[in-house]
Amino acid sequence: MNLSEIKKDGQFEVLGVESDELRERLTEMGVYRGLRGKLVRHLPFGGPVILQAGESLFALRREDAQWIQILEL
Amino acid sequence: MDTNSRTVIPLIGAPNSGKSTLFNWLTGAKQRTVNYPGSTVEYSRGSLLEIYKKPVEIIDTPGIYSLFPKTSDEEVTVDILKANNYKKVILVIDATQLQRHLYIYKQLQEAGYDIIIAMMMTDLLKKSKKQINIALLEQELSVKIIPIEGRLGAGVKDLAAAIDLELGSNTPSLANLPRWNAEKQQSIQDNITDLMTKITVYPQGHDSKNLLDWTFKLDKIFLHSFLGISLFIGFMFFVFASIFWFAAPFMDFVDGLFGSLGEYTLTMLPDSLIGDFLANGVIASIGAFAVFAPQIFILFFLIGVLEDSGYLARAASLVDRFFSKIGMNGKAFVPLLSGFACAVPAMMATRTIENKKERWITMFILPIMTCSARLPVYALFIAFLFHDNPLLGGVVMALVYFLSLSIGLIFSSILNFFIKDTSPTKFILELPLYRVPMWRNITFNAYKRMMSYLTKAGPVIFVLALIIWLASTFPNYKEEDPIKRFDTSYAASIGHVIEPVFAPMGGDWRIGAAMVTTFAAREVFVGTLAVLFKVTDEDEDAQTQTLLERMKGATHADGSPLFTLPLVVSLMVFFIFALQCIATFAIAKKEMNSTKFAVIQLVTLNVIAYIMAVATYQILSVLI
Repeated sequence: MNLSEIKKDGQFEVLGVESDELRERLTEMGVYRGLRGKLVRHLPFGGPVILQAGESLFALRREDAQWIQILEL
Repeated sequence: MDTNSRTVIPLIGAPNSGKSTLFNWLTGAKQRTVNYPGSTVEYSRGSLLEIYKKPVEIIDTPGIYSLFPKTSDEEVTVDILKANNYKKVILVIDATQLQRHLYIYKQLQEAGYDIIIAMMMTDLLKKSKKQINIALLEQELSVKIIPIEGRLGAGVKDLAAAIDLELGSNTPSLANLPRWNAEKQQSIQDNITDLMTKITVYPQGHDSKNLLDWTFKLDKIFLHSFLGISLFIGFMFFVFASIFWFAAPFMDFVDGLFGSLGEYTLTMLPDSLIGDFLANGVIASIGAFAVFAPQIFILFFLIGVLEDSGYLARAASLVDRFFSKIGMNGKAFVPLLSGFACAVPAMMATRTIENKKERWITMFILPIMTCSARLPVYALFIAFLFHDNPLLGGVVMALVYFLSLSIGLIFSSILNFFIKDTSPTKFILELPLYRVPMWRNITFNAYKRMMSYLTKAGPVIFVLALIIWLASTFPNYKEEDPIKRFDTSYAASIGHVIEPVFAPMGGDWRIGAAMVTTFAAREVFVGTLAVLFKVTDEDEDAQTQTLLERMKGATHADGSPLFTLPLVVSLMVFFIFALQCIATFAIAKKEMNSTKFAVIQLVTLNVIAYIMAVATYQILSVLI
């Protein structure tokens, strides 16, 4: 499953990113394979999703979240 | 002193790691710092000499996630590193974001730099239930780590002391750093994860909270579907309306001050050309424009509060969906908001936008945002129309801001329709923790912006006032009757030549002359009007009248009132669209590396401005 499919408050582990360009930037920002996090909320009107990993929060466009393969925990 | 003889050390770090704050503490410079990733897009230099008596020059750089840049602001940093052979760098790390910020450490280390780590926000970390064994981390990385408190800056002295002047024998080379492939990137992150497990401790009985507690509580409100969006619109409205609401008493004070100064000058130098020049030329024009300084201060102060609190990253996320539909990116929000202050830094702030098309569109519509130079013009007109109702005036002011934003967004959708570009676009933004704004910094920054408004436009206005006064007084300066003197002046002759251009939008030659001067700087408009209406007023009492009163009495040659509703609205419309700023033109050319872009933008916006202003005047004249 991918990150856009997970529900609010769902916990996940990142398995990989299918787009090379996106993967490189995400890895540099600290979202990499093996990272465990939580989907905190969906912004209104199909806006970005908010992720939490440790003490970090990220906003990520839902289209981009589709590229991120995850394991629901 | 020759810069080459000093040690030069750049501050490197991820966006929002605290580089600019640290830079200010080290050098005593007042660099703007805010709580939004990517707020530094250009580097600045400072020295340790002033405070720490060391011949070391410090360079603050835009934040980077990687030494392999993805955005123009990251390129600035990497280009500085490539162009200079620095041996040492100070790596700035946010203690609460340690794991993510260690990634650049690994890159800098592989490139061969001698690294000192400045660990910011250790005060926040102390309150957390997670603790870092800093000594162990130092040992693991074999690097010197200086802990620094985020709000008060304790530890900065230790950092300054730790910078030794000896240059190592290492020869770092960024050019030779091989690009990291996917496997390498992942293995570095795995390596950091292991390291973090080793150095993180959870002390027992430690009375502490999750660092994100407050941020979660606030996000529940600010990112809420209904409440969040309402508050967003409410904040924007409040910022723009309060420019009008809060500034009134200060503006009255400045107005009164210059009024008395003018009167005093005339009493001291009665019936002399010099007295006339000083009072009706210089003091009138400087006063007319200085009166808006309080509004500039309030605008920058409020934007500063939004930035520093951490709210802006949320706002950018909230608008991303909508912006992506019209060819932009949520990351365009901060440049657009800064555009309400000034288009020049705002255009530089578009460097954080990766996608070329999105950046192009954002750059193009930026000059439409109501910048602070237009503020005096709108404020004058709104005060003219709604002087009896300041509350309504504030609402109208906010509407003007929303109107300019809406027009910008309409332009964006039109451009989006015509520019075919399918290169990938994305939106990833880290959301900083909320924090109480650093009031001192925000106040100082707003003050600095206000002073630069006064000092930048001041000399231009002085020169223009001189020219206009000369042109409207000579050649018949001995003529006793001011009306006759004026009607035969150079200014009147030139004015009548340009009059036909401004007639379709309801202006006479004086409006025309004022419009021509705005291409030196928009804010000059009010100063020019002040001089023109002072020297052309037939009323004996004119000397003690304010510009507003004089505007009310102004007439066309046939005696009909000049400042009618259609004229005032059409002038405002012109100012909404027009690009009358040389600095904006120059920075657009530089940032896009394209004269073509800058010229197209300049011509398009001004032609549209003229057409819209004429249309507005003509339609309103028929209706009213």
